[in-house]
Amino acid sequence: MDYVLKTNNLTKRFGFKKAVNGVSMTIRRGEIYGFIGKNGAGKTTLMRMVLGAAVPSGGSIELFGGEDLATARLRIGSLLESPNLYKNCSAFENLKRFSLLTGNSNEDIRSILRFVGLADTGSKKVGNFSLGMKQRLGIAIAMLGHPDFLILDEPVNGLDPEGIHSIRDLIIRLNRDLGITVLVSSHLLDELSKIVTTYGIINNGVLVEEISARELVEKCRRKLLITVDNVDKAVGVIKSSLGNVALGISGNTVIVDSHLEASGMLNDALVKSGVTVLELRRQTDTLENYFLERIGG
Amino acid sequence: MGRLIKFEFRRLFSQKSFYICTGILMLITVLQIRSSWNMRVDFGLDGAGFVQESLINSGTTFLFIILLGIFSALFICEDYSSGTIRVIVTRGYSRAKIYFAKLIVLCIAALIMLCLCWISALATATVVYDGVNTSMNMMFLLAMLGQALLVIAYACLFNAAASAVQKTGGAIALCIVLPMTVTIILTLLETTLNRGRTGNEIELCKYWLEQLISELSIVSPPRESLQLVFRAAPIYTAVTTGLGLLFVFKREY
Repeated sequence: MDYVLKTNNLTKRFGFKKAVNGVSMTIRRGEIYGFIGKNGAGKTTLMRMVLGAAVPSGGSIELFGGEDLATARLRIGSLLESPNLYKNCSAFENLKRFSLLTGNSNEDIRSILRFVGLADTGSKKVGNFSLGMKQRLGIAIAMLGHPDFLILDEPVNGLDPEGIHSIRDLIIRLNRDLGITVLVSSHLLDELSKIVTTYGIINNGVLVEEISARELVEKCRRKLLITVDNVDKAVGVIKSSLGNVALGISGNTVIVDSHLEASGMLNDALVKSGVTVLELRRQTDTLENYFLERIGG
Repeated sequence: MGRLIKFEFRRLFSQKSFYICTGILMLITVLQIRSSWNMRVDFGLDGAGFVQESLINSGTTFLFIILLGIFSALFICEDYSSGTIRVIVTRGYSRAKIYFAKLIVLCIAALIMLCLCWISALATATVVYDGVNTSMNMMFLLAMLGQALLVIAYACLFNAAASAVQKTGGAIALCIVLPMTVTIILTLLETTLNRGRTGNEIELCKYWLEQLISELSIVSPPRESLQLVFRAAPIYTAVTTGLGLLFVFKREY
């Protein structure tokens, strides 16, 4: 497996408080990794450590299969919290300055500006840009040096729906068209769920779970919950009605993951077999519910 | 490191404060020389040594140090206060490399400011004196070299102060106040230590940058003063550079 980032027991202490506590996470090449956590959960601190802006108190960071960290960081683009820009300069001048650090040509700069939709901003000063434009310029700066890995911390923070859409679209294009692996954090779980391929859930500095989007969809899938007086008899009736389907049992509730359309027919069959149906309902877990459940919220 | 220095030069040459501070210094130099020449004429003095005097005085003024301090604070703190330092750090450049790139470019900027003051002094004095009297002896040239070394030492001091504060407003205030404050403290110490002493008095102020630079504001400074400058300036440069590095070494962004 081709890994872009691996952390092992990564820890950051501020005084007696552990902001990041023994996090071991893995990001594979080509992924869009969504980092979820409450405010102060340790997302930004972890990103800052990966990027070298903060020094870890313990643990290790491995980038691109163990390259020297300083060299590897040249292959990473980042946008930490708000975009860090020279507000008295134009978008081109901002990119021109940072391109001196990454070795990009003027043509590269123009092409990046086109990619993020800021090609026609001319000499307009960045201080006069809207928040969405600033965020896009921040991502443009992160794109300098043809990075293989982008770290975006709350890139849609404070944006209007149109701005959120354009950043989301940009992240998808970066990943799909340029093959860039992305680590993105956001509070907007619904937005994340539209682009992310793997989730990392962090709470109080601890990585609670890493889960792929497919697994999460599976876990959040709609279910049929049938509460009955006789579970064994109910299971027999359901199996004879639906065939050999996988069933879950929780107390006196039978959980059916498929054939949700057959709820009426099942109810009928159970009643006819003498099983008392105490409750029959459909349940759908949202990412938000799942997230809250995982962090104990 | 080369890329960082290029980056800092780009920043320097697009920094308005650099042009404003240098422009003010050149303008004040021209006005001062013009006014000094008028006084000479009023007192019936001739122009002997006027060009050399104008030249040597131009880079040692109080205003030069103040404006150098203000510009240093603005230049060094720009990346810290705008947060752009994060972009540089996260690209894998070490804090030491970033620090030295900023310092090198600041020192070069300070020398450019000094040279432009000298050039404007030389040009103005030559024009108003309307004569060719620009012969320069070795002591004069050494005094100019000493001035350049002291300007570098000042730049390193301001860089350390700005790196410690990292906020533009605070750094400007500190860069203006610091040289004067040190002078006041040394004077206080001097008077305290010399209380009741007769002869063989302890001199502290003469080792401080302000006193050293004023010693070089005459056409033929004493050999001892020059020796002191050539010894003290590199020490100040090294000490303040080391201090500044300590301030940024473990800083997190």
